[in-house]
Amino acid sequence: MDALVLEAQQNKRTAQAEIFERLGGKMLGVCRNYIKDWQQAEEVMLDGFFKALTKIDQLKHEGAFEGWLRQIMIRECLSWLRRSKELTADLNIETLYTLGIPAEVESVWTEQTLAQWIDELTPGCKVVFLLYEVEGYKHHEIADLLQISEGASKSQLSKARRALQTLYRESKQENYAT
Amino acid sequence: MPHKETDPAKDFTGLSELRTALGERSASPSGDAWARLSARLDQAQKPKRRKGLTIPLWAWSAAAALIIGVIFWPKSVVTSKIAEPVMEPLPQVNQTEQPMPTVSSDIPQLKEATPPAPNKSPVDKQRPNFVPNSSNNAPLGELMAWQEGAEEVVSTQLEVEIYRVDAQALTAEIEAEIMLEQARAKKAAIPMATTQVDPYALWLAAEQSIETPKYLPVIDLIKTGYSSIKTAVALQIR
Repeated sequence: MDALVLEAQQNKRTAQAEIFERLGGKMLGVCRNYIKDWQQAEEVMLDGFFKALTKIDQLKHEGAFEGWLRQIMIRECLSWLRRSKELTADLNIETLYTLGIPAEVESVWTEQTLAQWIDELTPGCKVVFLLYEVEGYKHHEIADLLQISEGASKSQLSKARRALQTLYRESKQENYAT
Repeated sequence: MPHKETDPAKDFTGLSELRTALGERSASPSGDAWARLSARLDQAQKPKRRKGLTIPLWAWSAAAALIIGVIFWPKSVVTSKIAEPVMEPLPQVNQTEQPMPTVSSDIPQLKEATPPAPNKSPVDKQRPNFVPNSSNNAPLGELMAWQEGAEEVVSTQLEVEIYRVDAQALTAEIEAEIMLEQARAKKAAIPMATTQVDPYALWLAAEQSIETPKYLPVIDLIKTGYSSIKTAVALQIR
């Protein structure tokens, strides 16, 4: 990968294509975590790749390319969510989280299960949960990134955890029942 | 106070599995995804078409600075750096020393005194067509000699012009000056008066200077008039 990155920094299209081939699917998965619509997630992923490949000469440590690309994808997703005004509206709502349990919840972590569970969360809860639990951000970092207070970040995370726990229990019960 | 997480759902079973699954989530992009991205990259790498003449920013900045400098540069700095030409004073025309009894007789003499044209002057014959300009590398002494000659010609021409235009006024001034000199001479001939003045002597001198027949008839007339007025008033009262 490091050699590919070096070649991509020299603007070699074949190297760029190889990088896309290797990391495109994973980055689309990252975008899909944040954005419900597949097509929209792919558009955002392409935007992120475009920015990364046009600014790849600014990357000093080739070994950190994947992490750098992932950060770009996350920021692109957050930017899209802000533009769509889903995130801003939801993060400022202090109402209790009301999560409807999906009718068909599978007991295994398939793509469909993940999509159903994560997409049932409100945008604010989903983003904070993903940033904290999956990406490893701290609450103050999330607060800075989303322009909210640390308390709001913690509150959103708690709601997301409770909702997912409920979903998990329900899926277990259904699993035992069957 | 640091936030202490007491969320019971913090470590629910399956959270770590969910975390891992979400972190490793992957999906296949659509078939034309790379083609679309490659087209965008190609478009971005094309050099931007220049719209007309592109002037760099530094050129705009330099032009702006130059204009501002020209506008706001203090005039004193500019004038101090320009060497002012040293002008020697022209020879003054001493109008009183030159006797000019009449204008008509003097002007022809002055015209005769007018130096000839510069191209015919003997000084110019010594200097073959010297024109002082920056391209000429003539010695400094020759340049100074040419300058002195030119100044003499100019001063003479100026003098003639003054005589020609203000001839009459000049004559009057000279005549007035002559009269003034005569008065001064008469005054000098008068003996100086004593510092002490006798008022009585002055009065006697004044009384003697007035002729007697001039004031006695006046007094007689005043007396006659007074008498007639007195009589008329008495008659009216009656």
